Amino acid sequence: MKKLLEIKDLKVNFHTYLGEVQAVRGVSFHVNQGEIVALVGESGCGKSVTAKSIMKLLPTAFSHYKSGEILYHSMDLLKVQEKEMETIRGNEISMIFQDPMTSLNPTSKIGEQIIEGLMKHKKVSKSEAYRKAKELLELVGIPQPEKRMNQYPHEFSGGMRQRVVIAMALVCEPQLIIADEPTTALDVTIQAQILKLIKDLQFKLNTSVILITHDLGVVAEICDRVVVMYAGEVVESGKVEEIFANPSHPYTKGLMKSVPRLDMSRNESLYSIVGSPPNLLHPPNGCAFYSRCEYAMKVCQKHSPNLMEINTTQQTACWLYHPMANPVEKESMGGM
Amino acid sequence: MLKYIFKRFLWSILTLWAVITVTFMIMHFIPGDPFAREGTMPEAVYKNLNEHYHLDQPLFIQYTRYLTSLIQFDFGPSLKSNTMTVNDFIKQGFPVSLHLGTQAILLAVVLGMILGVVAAYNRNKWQDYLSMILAIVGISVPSFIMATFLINFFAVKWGIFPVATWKSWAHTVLPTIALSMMPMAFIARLMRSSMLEVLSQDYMITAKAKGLKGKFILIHYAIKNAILPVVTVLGILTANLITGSFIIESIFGIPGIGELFVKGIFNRDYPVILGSTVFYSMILIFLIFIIDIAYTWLDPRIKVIGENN
Ligand SMILES: Nc1ncnc2c1ncn2[C@@H]1O[C@H](COP(=O)(O)OP(=O)(O)OP(=O)(O)O)[C@@H](O)[C@H]1O
Ligand SMILES: [Mg+2]
Repeated sequence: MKKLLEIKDLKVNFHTYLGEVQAVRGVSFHVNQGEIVALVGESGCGKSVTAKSIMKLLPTAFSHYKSGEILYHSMDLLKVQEKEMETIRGNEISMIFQDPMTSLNPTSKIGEQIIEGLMKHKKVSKSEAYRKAKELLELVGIPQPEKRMNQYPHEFSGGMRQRVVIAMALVCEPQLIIADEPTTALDVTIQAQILKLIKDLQFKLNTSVILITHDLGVVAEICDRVVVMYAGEVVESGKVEEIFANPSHPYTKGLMKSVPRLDMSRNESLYSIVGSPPNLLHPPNGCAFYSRCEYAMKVCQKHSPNLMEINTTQQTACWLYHPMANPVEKESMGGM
Repeated sequence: MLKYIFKRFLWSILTLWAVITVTFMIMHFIPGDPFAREGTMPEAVYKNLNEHYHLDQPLFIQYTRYLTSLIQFDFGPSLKSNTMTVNDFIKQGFPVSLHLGTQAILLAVVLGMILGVVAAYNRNKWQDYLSMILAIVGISVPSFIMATFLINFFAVKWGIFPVATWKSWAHTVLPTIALSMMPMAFIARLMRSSMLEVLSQDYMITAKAKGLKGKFILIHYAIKNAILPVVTVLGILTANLITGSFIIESIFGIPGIGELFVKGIFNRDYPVILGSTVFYSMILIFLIFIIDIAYTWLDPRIKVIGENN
């Protein structure tokens, strides 16, 4: 399979009046052509910042890319000029944001908002663009597209708006779609519809998708691979089956245990990982998960582990998987 | 939409009527009398004058008489001038004030918006500070100081523009600038805060994520949304400017209608005071009506509220 996007050791800092916030601290992962990759992890772990970095949408005034590469078709996006970036955004890589209530321009008609990207990138005529927009609205399941195109965002419900946003993201037939919690703001039944829609469209158009979500059920259902982030780092990545059947990093294990199951007894309380993630203003020298980890060892406090291959598809950043790790401790992991 | 316009129109008429009635009543209940102070006036002349201007009739008759003439756009006679009616005063002065005011408001809107946009796009940089210093100067320096300052430098010292009076276009430049400073500063500040609000909205990131050009985003996303609060105040600002400023008109010796009102008050010339108040209200209410209609066109969210009512 061909790699469409590869992020290598990305580090992003924010300048705040308290100091430098190290929001992303060496993230590496890749996205193959035609696959859906889930980006999961606790709130504040740097998922959105990573996503926005790919599109270079972070505010230039108070953020900066400290190091790393974002290779898209082996071109480093971090080195690309703003002018050229404009031709990639929305055209080759597009983004679906979390809140459809605020991500559309309230004073422009839906149709105009869909075609403006198309007209900019593909140099098509207005009537052709409108025809394409109509097709797309049909595709994402908006009835009476012709009439709807002449309406404004406030005339749409939340679910319908998110469909519009999806149509907008698809309009130039991008190779990569980044969906940052696309259903968090919607009610449950609509969530399922929207996710199914994304999955269907991805299948039909063979685009790649990075899906940021907190919902592991969704991950299991529609994603191919999972990247788990913690405190600005990738702690584990692998195929969905591997991550769910064999989570290796203690954080991933905790995450899996905190998912409610059908076979749980009524009075069994839901598992949650104790403690809270470290402050990214002063991240620890050692493993960021050290203070919350049940299996913490001496080495974890001093030295931060790099990603290690467990097998050809699964990687984890945990000292327990280091070849030199004490086999006894490894055993105790298996028994949980 | 038509229904909405019609409704707004009826409201405008109603508001105007209320303004006229209240002004009329106040005018008649404040102590004093237009002819009382001319102490040497014989009793018979005084009586005749009152009779001539119907001031001896019951208030209600006077009121209905005034309303009927107003409907025919007749503001009545002036009590102090036997040759000119209030209509004559307005006809003479208003075109001048309108000309000056229109130029001033255009200048204020264009410059104010540019300053506001530049300030917001360069928040906390020197462009921002410079614009806001200009705005503070514009708001806090009284117009008579600004006018004398302009005359001193541009007319007296450098001789670029004429000092005063109202003849060629060059004569209009300095009073236009002097008159536009305050509204310009006001619009700049309003535009800046409105822009800052818009720039922080999610849809601005959406626009960028679509790969749209910076200029396109500025016009179609930023300004189009940020301009709405500015449009709301435009009615009042325009009405104030085109109905003349007593101070600017006196300083530059401009024959506008700004001085009409003030002279009317000094002379206790009831029809003139009443007429200029009503005239000002008419213009204000008319402009607010126009702005309301324009607003529904600029902000699609308003239309729904209007139609649901
Ligand atoms: N504009 C900013 N200025 C300063 N710090 C920021 C800024 N944006 C993000 N951060 C910091 O970067 C870190 C990562 O934020 P990010 O939004 O990527 O989290 P996330 O994983 O998307 O969380 P969530 O699941 O809540 O969306 C956070 O600690 C946050 O405080
Ligand atoms: Mg986020």
